[in-house]
Amino acid sequence: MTALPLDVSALSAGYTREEMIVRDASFSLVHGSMTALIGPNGAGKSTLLKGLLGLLPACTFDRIAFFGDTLDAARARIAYIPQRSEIDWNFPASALDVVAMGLYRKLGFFRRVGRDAKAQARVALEQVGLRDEAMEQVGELSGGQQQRVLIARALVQNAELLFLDEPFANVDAFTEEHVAGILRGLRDQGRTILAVHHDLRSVRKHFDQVMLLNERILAQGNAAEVMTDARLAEAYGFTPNSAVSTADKAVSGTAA
Amino acid sequence: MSSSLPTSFAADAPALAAALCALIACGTLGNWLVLRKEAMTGDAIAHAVLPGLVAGFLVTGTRSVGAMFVGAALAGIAAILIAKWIRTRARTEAGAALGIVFTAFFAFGVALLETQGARQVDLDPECVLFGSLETLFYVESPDASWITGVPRQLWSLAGAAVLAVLFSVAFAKELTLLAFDAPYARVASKSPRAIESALLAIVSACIVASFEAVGSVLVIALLACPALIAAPHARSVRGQILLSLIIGCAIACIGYLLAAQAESVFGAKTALNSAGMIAALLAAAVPLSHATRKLIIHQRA
Repeated sequence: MTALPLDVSALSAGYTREEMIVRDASFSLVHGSMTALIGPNGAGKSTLLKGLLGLLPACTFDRIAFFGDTLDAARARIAYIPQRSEIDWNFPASALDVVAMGLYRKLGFFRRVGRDAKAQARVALEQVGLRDEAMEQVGELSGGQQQRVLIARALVQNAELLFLDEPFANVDAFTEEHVAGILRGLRDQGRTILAVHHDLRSVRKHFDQVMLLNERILAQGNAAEVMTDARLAEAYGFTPNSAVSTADKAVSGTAA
Repeated sequence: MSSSLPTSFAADAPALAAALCALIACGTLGNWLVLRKEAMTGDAIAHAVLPGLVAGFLVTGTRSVGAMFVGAALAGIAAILIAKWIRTRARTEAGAALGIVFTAFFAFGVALLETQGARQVDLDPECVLFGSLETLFYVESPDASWITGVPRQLWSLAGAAVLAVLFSVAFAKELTLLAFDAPYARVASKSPRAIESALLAIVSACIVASFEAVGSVLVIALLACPALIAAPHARSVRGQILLSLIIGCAIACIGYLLAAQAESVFGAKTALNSAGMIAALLAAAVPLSHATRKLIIHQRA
């Protein structure tokens, strides 16, 4: 049996040791799953991702295994896609340049991005529907296009485990659908996806697995099992009745 | 300052070459700092190394590059550590913490200079601020090879320029990725920390090498201005760096000539300080560049 893509036990993470934001989180992801990480504002969703990827100053854990290995051994197989707002899009680079960044690790030191790498980057851009935008400056792309450029970068890297922080933040409904479709396609290829998500209404539509977080992990499992009124009330401090029931209708509506 | 500057090429060439080397060294690295939104860091280091430079001089009694460099490096590292400590303890933003530290260090350096350095003929505050480009002459001696006539500052500046360019070319990919998307870079590879430390170390080395010849005012301008001038027009990182160096070198030449010819151009009583003139022109070119960018966009639309 192959090792799980991600297996975490007793992870606490934050910015100082005195004030951990995420506490004692234990969970695992199975191959080819697409999990939404949900929870109220300040629950530590982004902190959890950053903590397990070693991006935070304060972090303790019993075990974090990526494909049964350490982070250092698995780096090539992992891609982290930060929140779009964390990136300065005013950067002098074309969409193709940014996608080619996914190949930097494979190229190694001192080697330039050659014709071969650019061809691979073009293929990845085509896969996310941005063939014609390859030479555009990233700053001139729409929010949804920028998000797809970042996904294409993970594609060209051939990452098997993708961490996305709010991939649907500030994009219109059409783009959200498009990006979700791309992610589902990746999952169907056997890649594993964990995405921070804030919109309770669209969780069930886009994701098969859900992890509910409020400083501690309150539940993990199938979307239907986790998204119960009682659990949501525990996490959010109120029963988000209207939101979720609307979602129920929307989901059953599209399924019918 | 002397009103009768030598105008022959042999006299002007070393000073101009020093200014251009400083521009290539600081200007190239400044692009990475600006792309990383860390222009302030260069500024901070340029200020913070002053007490180290003065202390290095006071301890050894010479302006040897080695002693001053050790002093500057220690001061620079101390400043960064203290700023980090303030940032985590007081929970201030990075810029504010750096601001507190580098003003304090610079003030301490000037105080040290005024009280201790005043006894030394070799080290004066004016030189620290505006450098000593005007004193870099080619000294001709009939019984030695031409190399001995080249002022010593020019050698360290040329070394700094070569180091900055080599580093930027060798690690262009890694520096670009770190500047664009640091979290992704830190997950993708283990090396970012080492490359970031190397960048800081090389920036510090270039600042120290440039300090004596061009002074702190021009060092700070060189770190930020060429990159900021090129940024609005660049479409790639390589394009931005090349553009910044071309425009920067042109401005440095114009500034140097204007300062030397100030008597005839501005009707000034004496020649003006060339480092100061170059810095002023560079600073003036930044808003000009942004304005032309707006104009281009406006005309296209």
